[in-house]
Amino acid sequence: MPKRKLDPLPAAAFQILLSLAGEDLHGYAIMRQVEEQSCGRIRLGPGTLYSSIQALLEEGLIEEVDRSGKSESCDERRRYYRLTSTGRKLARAEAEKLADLLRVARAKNILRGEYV
Amino acid sequence: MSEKIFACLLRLYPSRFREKYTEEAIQLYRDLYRHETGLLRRTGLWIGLLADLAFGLPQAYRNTYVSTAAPPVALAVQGVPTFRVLELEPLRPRLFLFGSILTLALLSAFSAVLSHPVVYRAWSASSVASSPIAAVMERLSQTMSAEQNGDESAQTDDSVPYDGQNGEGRKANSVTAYPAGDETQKAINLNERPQVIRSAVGSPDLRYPYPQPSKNAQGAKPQSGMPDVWVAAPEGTASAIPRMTPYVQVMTRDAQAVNAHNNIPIPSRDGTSAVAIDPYRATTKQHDCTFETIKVLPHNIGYFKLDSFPDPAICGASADEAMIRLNDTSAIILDLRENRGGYPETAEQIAAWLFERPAVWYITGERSVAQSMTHSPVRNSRLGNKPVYILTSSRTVDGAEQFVYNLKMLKRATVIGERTRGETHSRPFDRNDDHLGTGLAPDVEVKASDALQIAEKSARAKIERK
Repeated sequence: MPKRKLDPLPAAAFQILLSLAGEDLHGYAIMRQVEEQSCGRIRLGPGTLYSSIQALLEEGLIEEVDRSGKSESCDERRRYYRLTSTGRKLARAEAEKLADLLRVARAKNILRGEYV
Repeated sequence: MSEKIFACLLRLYPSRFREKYTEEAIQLYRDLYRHETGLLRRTGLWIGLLADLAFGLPQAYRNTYVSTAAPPVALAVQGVPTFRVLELEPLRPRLFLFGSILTLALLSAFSAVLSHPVVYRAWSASSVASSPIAAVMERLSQTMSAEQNGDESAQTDDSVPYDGQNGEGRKANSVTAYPAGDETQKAINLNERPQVIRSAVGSPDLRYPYPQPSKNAQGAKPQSGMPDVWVAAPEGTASAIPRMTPYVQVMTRDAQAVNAHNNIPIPSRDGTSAVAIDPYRATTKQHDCTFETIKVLPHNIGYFKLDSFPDPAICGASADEAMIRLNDTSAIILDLRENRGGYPETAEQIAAWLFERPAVWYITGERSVAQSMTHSPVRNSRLGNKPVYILTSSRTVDGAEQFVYNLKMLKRATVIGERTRGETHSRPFDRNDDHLGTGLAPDVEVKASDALQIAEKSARAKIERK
């Protein structure tokens, strides 16, 4: 089985998957969502953002959404993206992996109480 | 300004990336730029963009940019060709190399094909007899050869003298040179000959190219007691084929007429050839290579009357000498009114003196027309820009017509006199000009007897204008 390009999943790609978990977003909105969900620690630049989006598209983890005519407010020049079921499963697996690490870290008393 | 710098930075990304995301990336930059106000924050923005370049570029080059859309309905049905779209795959350097080599090879092949002379092949020459006459003549020759028990006298073609063709043409004129079908392989016995000849000459499919001889041939009747005809009959065999004689006489009338006029002995390929060729050469020389007159007329007009284009092997030097004698004239008149053709090589040799640079020249054979170039400029020639006049008559025939045709088409000469006879022996040439049976029309149509006077007058006027 060929090695997946996004294995291991880069942080930027994982953040994009998480950002799309709630709704379909365009590039700038993804960038803002990532910044927000990471409490400002991660800010994706245009190069990283769109090359990651392209990689996720090629892996079938997200897909472009045809929103023409669906919403008057949406900017037709922007592309919107949606999480695919594969992308959602991968995001869940990645999150579970991190959760396991979190449990270990907690068991080792590396984390303090303010973390989940 | 900053937006332009950002757009320049985007050029570092792969073309596929730029095609897809440039517009969105610039829009995103505008949003960021609008959001980040103040020098400090905008400086931070640019530091972030440069860092982004370092992280984003490698990822951008790792992507394949293959379409992620659902594939179309599979067309890979067995037996149905499929095509790969190059656009989706990067071109590898070796493909450029392969493409270049292939292109060069195709260009070379194409130019080779273009430069190759096209040989005319008669449709009838492939699998069936070219004509009833050819078939009959072939069968007769075979019979005669058999009767001669291998006598070399079957070589009759070289017995044709100045009939207006070169060596190849004379060979093609032989009765044995025409392709013949399978039916010719069967010999005809003496009793069958009259009937075979009668049916052949009466055939509507008679393909002898000249109207009058064809008409004559169709009206020919076998006769006996005619004098010996050496033109088509092998030496010493004429008496064995009395029924053939009149027919051959009709068909070769022109050749006989020329021979009678010139009284030139004919070389043969048999054992006496060495003896026969010498008189041929000597007699040709004795007739001044049929260059009847070379002189300078009043007003410094050169006049050259040549009654044939003789064998270049014998008269090549004489032809050059004749042209040298005309070198200092102000205009040239070539009198072809009695010219019955000859060797295309000699015609081209003379024509070469009349051009300052190589000119397209058609050399015609019996079955092909080859485009050639004159060997111009001829060293020491001062005739390249002199006015040239050609005199023609209804007796101007064959190779002379080809000479006139070339110079007329090249607009190098003014043709004065009568329409030529229209009986060039080269069938492809006939097709070129479509003048078979009609002849070449002169530029100035006058009686042949008046042609010289008109040409002199015209030349004088042109010289005076200069």
